[in-house]
Amino acid sequence: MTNTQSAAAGSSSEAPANTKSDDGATRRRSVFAGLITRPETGGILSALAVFLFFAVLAGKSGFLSPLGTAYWLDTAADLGIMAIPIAMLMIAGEFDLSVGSMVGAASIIVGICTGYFGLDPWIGVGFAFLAAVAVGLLNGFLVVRTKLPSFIVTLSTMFMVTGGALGISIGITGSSSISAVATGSANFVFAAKWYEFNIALVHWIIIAGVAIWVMQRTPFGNWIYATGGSLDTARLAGVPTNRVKMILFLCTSIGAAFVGVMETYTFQNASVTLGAQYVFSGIAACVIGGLLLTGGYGSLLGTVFGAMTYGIVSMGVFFLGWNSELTDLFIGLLLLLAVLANARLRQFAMGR
Amino acid sequence: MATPIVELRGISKHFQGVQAVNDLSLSVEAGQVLCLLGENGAGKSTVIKILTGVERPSSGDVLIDGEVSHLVSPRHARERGIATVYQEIGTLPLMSVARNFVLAAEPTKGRGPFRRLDIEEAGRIALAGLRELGISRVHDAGQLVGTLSGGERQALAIARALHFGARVLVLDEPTAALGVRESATVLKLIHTVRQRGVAVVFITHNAYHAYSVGDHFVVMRRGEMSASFDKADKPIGEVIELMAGGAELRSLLSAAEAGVMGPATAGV
Amino acid sequence: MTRALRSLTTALGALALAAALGGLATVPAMAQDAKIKIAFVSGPLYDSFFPPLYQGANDAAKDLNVDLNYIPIDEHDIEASSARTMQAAIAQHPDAIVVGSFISTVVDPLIKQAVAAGIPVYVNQSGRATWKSTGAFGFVGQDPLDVGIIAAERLQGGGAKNILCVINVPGNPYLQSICEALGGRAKELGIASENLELPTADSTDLNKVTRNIGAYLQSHPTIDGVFTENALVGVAATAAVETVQLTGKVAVGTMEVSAVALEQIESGKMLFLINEQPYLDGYYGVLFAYHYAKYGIAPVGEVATGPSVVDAANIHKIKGVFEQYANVIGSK
Repeated sequence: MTNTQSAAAGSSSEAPANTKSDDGATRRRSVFAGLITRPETGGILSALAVFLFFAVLAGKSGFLSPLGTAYWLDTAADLGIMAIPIAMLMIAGEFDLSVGSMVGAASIIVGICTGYFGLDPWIGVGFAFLAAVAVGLLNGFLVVRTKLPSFIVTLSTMFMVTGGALGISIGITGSSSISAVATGSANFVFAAKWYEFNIALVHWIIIAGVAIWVMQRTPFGNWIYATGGSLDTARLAGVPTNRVKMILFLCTSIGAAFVGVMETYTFQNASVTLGAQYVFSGIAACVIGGLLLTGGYGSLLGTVFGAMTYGIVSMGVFFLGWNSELTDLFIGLLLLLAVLANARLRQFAMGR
Repeated sequence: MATPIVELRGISKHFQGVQAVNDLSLSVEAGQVLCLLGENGAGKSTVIKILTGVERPSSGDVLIDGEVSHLVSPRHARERGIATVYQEIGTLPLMSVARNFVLAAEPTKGRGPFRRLDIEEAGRIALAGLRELGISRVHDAGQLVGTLSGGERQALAIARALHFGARVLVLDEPTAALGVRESATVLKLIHTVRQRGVAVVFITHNAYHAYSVGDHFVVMRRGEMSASFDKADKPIGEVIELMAGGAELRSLLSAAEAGVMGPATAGV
Repeated sequence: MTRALRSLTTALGALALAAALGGLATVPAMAQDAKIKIAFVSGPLYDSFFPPLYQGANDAAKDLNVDLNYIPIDEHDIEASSARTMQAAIAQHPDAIVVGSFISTVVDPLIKQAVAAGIPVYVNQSGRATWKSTGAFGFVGQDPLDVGIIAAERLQGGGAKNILCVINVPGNPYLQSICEALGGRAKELGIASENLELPTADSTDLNKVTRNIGAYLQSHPTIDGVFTENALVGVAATAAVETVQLTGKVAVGTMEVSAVALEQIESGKMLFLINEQPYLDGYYGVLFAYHYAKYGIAPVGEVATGPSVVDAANIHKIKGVFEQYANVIGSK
């Protein structure tokens, strides 16, 4: 009943073939095994693998040039920022399918305030974050109170947010796409660039750093892991699981609003459909990074590398000149491989 | 006789017209193991829930250290020293031993925004707790609980409860899903904690396990106490028979042998 | 009952009967003055192409006192939605249906169904290739092939010898046919062309689209002309050209109007834009359907509402109109 599946293939250098001693007890692991079983290993290996792939095949076409590097890093940063709260929520055992629609809603709010009404760019930002808080609270409240799967709850809020955003956009401006130019400090915070490196990279590093610290080094992070590992156990142990989930749903919505504002002010155009793909690519980044879909396990550092992997692939294909079907196929295969590899590594971590 | 750590006096509980427990009294002293026996539906779970603050009795008293107490929640019961160790949902397999041990009571160091989890201290506490229960094979507090054997996981749960001040441990079917070797580990654990002066309420279906650690036995049937005795009072064979249904089972068997099928009506 | 009361009752009854008969007599007259009901099935408003079309339809409805019901197709589920919306239109039993037949294999049979049920159908903006066989009484819109042809000619005129045609909704037959037409005309003109399909996942992320085009340009240095199929992607293309430092070496043209695109034509960043004039699609769609429903007359065959070209020559006039009237030249 105890130790799970059969021995993983590549064993460590010193662990004996016979795994269980008489009491089913554990054994010391070699340093190598310790490294391999870290939750972020899969993500790091994936990122390295795809980087080498495109470096070899597309290095001369520009993938390795400063512009090429900036391109995939920018892509990784946008996705990476969104993936962090998605990952934290996933570790807690829940999903937020409304993040895509929230990005679009934040975008259109900023577009209406800054573009259509010509107000100070920070006012639109303020309203976008207020809307995010409202949506996050709604998601959290519904999930915690109704005990319905968050998949269902956030699916419905996704439709509501999209419909609401579209209705407001058409109602006020007659369009679903609005020009929005930020100036001054707002332009710097959300859209500054050095050469072609977006300020999104800075934000990503900060957000990832803080999040990793919270997950690994604080009691709250421990509570997140426990909530996802086993809700009943966590609750019985005294973890305030409802509060944990509420906070995490707020984080995903606010994260989505941040990404929405950033992308809107960067391209200087607001659109209701902005960010629709993040539901999928965000989860992909998490899974490639070694997160368990059912929660309770994984490292945010892995998610960082998962986002990097996705960024490298989704940019690299254009240096190769592949058409879009091949791109989708590649990402799908990559996801499958990453899931399998991470599952294997996890078995290994559980002691074969 | 020492004051029992915890005592149920004349406890009754009904749910919407169904009498789950009727006028049940039992008590446990420090260093004593009380085995609560009975078939499914006998009312054992309800008694446990009352004991651990999950439910409140419809009538009767819960006494802790001789004083009437009103337990309003499991957390309250835990604060008073009554801790439950569950069968399946005791520990988190994907978490490390250290983190599991200190969950919801994590030691921290530093102040303000730099207040962080003291993972080294957590590891120290966890390993020390396990060692006190005689588990010496776990050396790395960072290893995942899923790599521990079933017996070691129970030890972890028990050590955690003891560390947070449990004086009464309620073990709900701890050996039900374990093999022979692992069950032996758990029974050894119960012996160990008993020697440390902890009271144990042990719920089980397995008469052999009950007999090997129990000091006092309470058999429940249809919400009432049908037998209460010390180990010294009865031999193992009789205990098993009592658990299995005793006289009623005998009469059912003989009726079946005599070829008479149908419900046993003789009140037992 | 007294005799007086009985007389009164009889008199009241006669009066009521007379009123009812009189009412009945006026009903046909009222029916003659009832508003013409038109169901207009076309694209969704979140696609920036359609708000001007919607505006045109609404303006015509207001001018002609038409009861207009605009039924938008969901682009995310375009085939199923094309069927559903047509079915909804037929179910309303309007005086006429105007439909944008994006997926003609799905919509044409339903047009036949509507016509068979006695509802005249006017095909609008999309569906030019097959409308005749469906029994619809006409087509107003443009030939997508014309867009591609003009694009090739304009880019070649701008000095391009290798044109990149960017398709931002992969698998969309309309957009596909435009790029095909561009390719065909390019070959006739003796220059090269290739297509770049953007992945669906990137379609709403214009920063990513900019990077995609930039990466493609950097790795395919022979490209010196880019044509895009909506204004936002056009702006992304000019941004990409700038980033890869090919301004002046790569000419960019696009379909569809936007404020930023117009500005870029003014500043010379963009060479031209092609306006399908969807406002006219909407307006004439309602107008012609109205005439047909009311009088039984309509223009014969196909009426082309576009394409027209905005370039450095006419940018000032167009920009003026764009700023003065909302959703006529394009969505703001």
